[in-house]
Amino acid sequence: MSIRSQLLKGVLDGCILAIIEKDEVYGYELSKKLEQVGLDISEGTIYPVLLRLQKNGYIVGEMRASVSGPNRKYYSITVKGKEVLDNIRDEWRILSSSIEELLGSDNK
Amino acid sequence: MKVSVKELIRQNNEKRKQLTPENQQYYENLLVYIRANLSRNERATEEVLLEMLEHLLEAQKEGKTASEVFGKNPKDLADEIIASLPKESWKRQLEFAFEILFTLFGWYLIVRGIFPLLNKENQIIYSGNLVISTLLLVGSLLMLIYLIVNLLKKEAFQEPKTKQKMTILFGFITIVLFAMSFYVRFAIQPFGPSFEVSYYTIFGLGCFMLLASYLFKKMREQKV
Repeated sequence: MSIRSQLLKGVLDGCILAIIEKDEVYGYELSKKLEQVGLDISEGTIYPVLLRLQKNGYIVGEMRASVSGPNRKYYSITVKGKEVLDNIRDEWRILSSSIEELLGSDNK
Repeated sequence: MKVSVKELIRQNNEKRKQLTPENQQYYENLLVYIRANLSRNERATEEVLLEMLEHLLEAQKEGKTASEVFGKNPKDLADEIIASLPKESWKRQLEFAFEILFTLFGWYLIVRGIFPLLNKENQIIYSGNLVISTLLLVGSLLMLIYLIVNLLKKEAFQEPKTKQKMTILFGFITIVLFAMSFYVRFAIQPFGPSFEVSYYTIFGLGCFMLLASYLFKKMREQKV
């Protein structure tokens, strides 16, 4: 596993929650959005995360039948999910500034 | 509008045909491996399988292969998905077990009962033998189900050649098991209190069980 994906692992749940908070998305759309912000992960890995987030009640998925074209499962964030996301954001701010201080500059 | 589990499976079957042969092979291995976990919620399982299929189809339009989308190690991904799927409720697992047992017993009794029915011969049943052969049959059926599920899981990501060998071996075990459960009737001296049943009872019971299993199946598929 590359260093980047190892680092990403712990915060991927938060990133996915943040995307779903903004817009309702379906799986393929979600992986595109992650790619757009530069987070290149193996696309399949979003599915275990989505399942876990649903199980914890942070997001809900709804399979919608369409007359033509594919059935898509759209995910939206729950109240509980929002609380968790806020919490992740706070933690991230604290952690990222500390880590930035240690790892952020090349100067010795 | 919510879609039934049966409809999800039907769509999956239909849409899989649009995959390229290579992607189809990759995806179907994943599908078999994930479906072989009977303890997971069926609806959630089918939903995630269909989602991933739609995903793969869209990626395929961009010229991507399945291993680029889902990684070079499908087994790891599948294990992670299975671990994240919600568990099937205890009640539904029991219903499913009954469905399978009724189906297999139903066919067994029909095969067993067809000759008495045709010859119009009433049957004498010894309760001791009945108990033993029932236990043996249940045991061998459970083992059969266990074998099927395990084999499906183990085989999912193997080379086609290994698969063939395993299938032959599996077929052999199945035949031996069934032959044994029929042989038991002749191998053991009749014992225990006996009673007589009319020539159509065994056959009728078989039909009843098949009907019951059919109803269980309908119930399961209609759940949304």
